[in-house]
Amino acid sequence: MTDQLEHDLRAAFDRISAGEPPLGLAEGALRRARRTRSTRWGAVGVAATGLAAAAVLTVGTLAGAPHTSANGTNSAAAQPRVVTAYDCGFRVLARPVGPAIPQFSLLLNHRSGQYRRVPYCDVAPSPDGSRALVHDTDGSDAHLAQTGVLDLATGRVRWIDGYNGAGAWSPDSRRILLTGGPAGLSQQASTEPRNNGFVLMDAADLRPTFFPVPDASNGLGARGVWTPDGQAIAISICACPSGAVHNGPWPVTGIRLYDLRGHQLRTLPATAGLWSEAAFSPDGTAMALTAEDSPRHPSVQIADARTGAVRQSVPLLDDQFIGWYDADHLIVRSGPERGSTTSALRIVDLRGHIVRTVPLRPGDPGEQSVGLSVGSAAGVPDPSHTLTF
Amino acid sequence: MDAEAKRDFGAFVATRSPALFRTAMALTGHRQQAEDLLQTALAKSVRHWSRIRHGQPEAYVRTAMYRQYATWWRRLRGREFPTAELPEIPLADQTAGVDLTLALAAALRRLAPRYRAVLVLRYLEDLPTEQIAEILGCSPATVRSQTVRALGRLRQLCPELDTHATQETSQ
Repeated sequence: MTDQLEHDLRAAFDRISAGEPPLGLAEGALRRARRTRSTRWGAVGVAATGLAAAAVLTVGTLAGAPHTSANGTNSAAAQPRVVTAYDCGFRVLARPVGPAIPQFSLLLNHRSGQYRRVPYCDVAPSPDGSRALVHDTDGSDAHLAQTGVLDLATGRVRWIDGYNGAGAWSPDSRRILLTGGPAGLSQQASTEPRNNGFVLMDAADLRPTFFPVPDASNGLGARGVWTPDGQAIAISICACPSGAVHNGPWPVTGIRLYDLRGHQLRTLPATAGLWSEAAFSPDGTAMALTAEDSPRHPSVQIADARTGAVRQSVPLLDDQFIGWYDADHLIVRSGPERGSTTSALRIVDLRGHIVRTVPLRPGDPGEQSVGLSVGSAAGVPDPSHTLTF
Repeated sequence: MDAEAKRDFGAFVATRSPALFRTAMALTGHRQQAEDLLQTALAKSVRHWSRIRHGQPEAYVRTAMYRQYATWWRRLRGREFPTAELPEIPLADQTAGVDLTLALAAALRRLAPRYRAVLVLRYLEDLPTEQIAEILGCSPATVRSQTVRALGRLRQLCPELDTHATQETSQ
């Protein structure tokens, strides 16, 4: 390497790298991080009991005929859905970050069909509608972010001791899964494999049990997922070198299933991970795996839940995967990053074709939210079909 | 992330984004891809901000950027990229240096991503081999061999380099 070549290379890099960064990088990063972290799904109905919701699902499946909505378009299945919660972050999109940003979420009241404001982030309603997982901080460095259980009847929150990862309800609403390790560790300790894993607890007593998974993928938004029968936990795993500092997600190498005692059941090969609570199809035979790290055109891999074999890839065109609509359709969220100023939910078939678009119009509750939950619309009064889809 | 952490993160991005974006541009050679790359890395840093904000957040974001870039290039399977700016043979006049820079920039854009990453780390970031290896997740020996191969490929894509070197030597 001559000095001249070195000089020439530096000059060329100077030329290539010239340019001002785009505006709104911080806001965009916050928005993107929250979108990924906050994608979740209410497994079944809220107002109905689990049994009633299962009955609705069965009837809907047996009926088979496409549901016709009020606007005359055919939806893909008979069971209507509704957005059960919009996560906080509304103002992040419109205003610079700062201490004045209110943190709140919107939670659907299934009886009234109205959204009510709750002063917490990352609200995840339980499937039985009695509680919600909430995530919050007290706004200071002196205290850690907390994850807790909000009782919707009393408004009281019970905070979980020692863990504050992203949470998910079991389908029967009796257990809670948190992804991640203990809270409050030093930077170095938090990156150690022994502190990587998931936490299970009973929703009644909130006593956490931590199960280390040293090779669990710690990528942004990666999470543990309940299987539809509530009898197992699925975790994305990666080829992460033991002891290596995790500065981002390592490539996913598989999906590993654990029983509720933390015993490993099996590991399926995979090249994409679990990014939504609704990664499993309603009948549990398929998984929708996504690679959050795709640059611009992410897709969803539909993989066999028993073997991990990829059946097909569904192009999403930069949309965000939300969950399964039924066995043949997915729900995705598009915009506002996709060249439009408003968000929309779309129901797409497994070829990526849009079957139905549900616009989240400006002014709608949570149109600008960065995370949302979708669940059954059973029991929601919505005569004009403005909420359900 | 609490309000103070958000403010802190916003301040960090405001101060350091020009330098970080420069690296992203050098890696990708395309403004849109650079924006994607930097924002993806920043989004990753958001999740860990509470623990990295008092350490070396810029190093974290840079590493995240290189590893993200590595993920992308694995998907691209080492492709070289065509460019609309075809290198031209430089003339022996005062503009020769400018022409060489243009040709070299075009060649760098066509270089396979893994090679370009090594060169960016070496000649834009001025990092030692061991640190490059750590960032790219490979051995120092691999970094050295990749550097040699990258320079060799660069000479193929930009023959003006040797011409220029010969001219400089003869002068």
